[in-house]
Amino acid sequence: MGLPNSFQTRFPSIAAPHDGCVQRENAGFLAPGQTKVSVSGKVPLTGSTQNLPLPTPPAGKIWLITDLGLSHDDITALEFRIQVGGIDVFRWPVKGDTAPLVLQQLETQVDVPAGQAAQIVLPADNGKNAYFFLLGVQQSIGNG
Amino acid sequence: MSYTYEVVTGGLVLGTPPAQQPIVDAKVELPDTFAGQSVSFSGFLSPAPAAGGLSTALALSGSPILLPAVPGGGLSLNWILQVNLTSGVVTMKTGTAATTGTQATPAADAGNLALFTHTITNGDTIPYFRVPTLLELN
Repeated sequence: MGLPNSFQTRFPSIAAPHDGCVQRENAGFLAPGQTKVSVSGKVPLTGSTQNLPLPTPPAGKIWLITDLGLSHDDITALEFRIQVGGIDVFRWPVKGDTAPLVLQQLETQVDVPAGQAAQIVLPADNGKNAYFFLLGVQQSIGNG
Repeated sequence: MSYTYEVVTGGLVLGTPPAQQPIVDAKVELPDTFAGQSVSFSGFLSPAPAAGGLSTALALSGSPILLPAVPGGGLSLNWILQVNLTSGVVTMKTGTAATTGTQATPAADAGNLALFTHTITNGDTIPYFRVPTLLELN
């Protein structure tokens, strides 16, 4: 049996650029200066808003939140807020049955700088529960 | 219901002379109340032996561990989860209750690393409404 034409390539040739520029396009393991930090949970709501604390980055770090999800088990729209240093950086109504909020692979991330307290402000809705996840990378930045 | 913190850190070669960091992957879950409740955890440790490189990953073990009791009036205490850097066994160390603001954080034992540091203050009812400090190697 004859061999297939050995000069017929099945794949297009790829010429490597001489300038050596390489772009990493998918997530890998930690790079220098990075720690993965994520939180998630199910928390009972009460008749008042509650401030659910988030981890505080240490000096020299910034927590970049790349993915977040917020929901609850009621059918009404309830407002969730994420605060950093007491300031709202994210504020959004969430309807538990039809409109949970899931934001993935944020191009420009919500961030928490070093030493600043961050929290989720949970809505008031006695007897119901909130669900959340915030996924991110704690990254070195400047000299802290 | 619960609140889970996840941290993955380490695995780099840093310093002069270069030294390999272990890799620590820890998921720590706090419950809704203190009374009779435990902190739970899972994850893995890739030890960094003195000979260099990383050893085979070990599952973190020892979960769950009973939470310390809420201290008396005006008092706080700090507690840590520490991981043994050879075995992956996680243990708790609890500091002495003292006037809030003066309590000391227990140091990790030799050969261990503090994974998770938390405070309990008189009047606390829900563990996760007080923020912990997470391990950060990088």
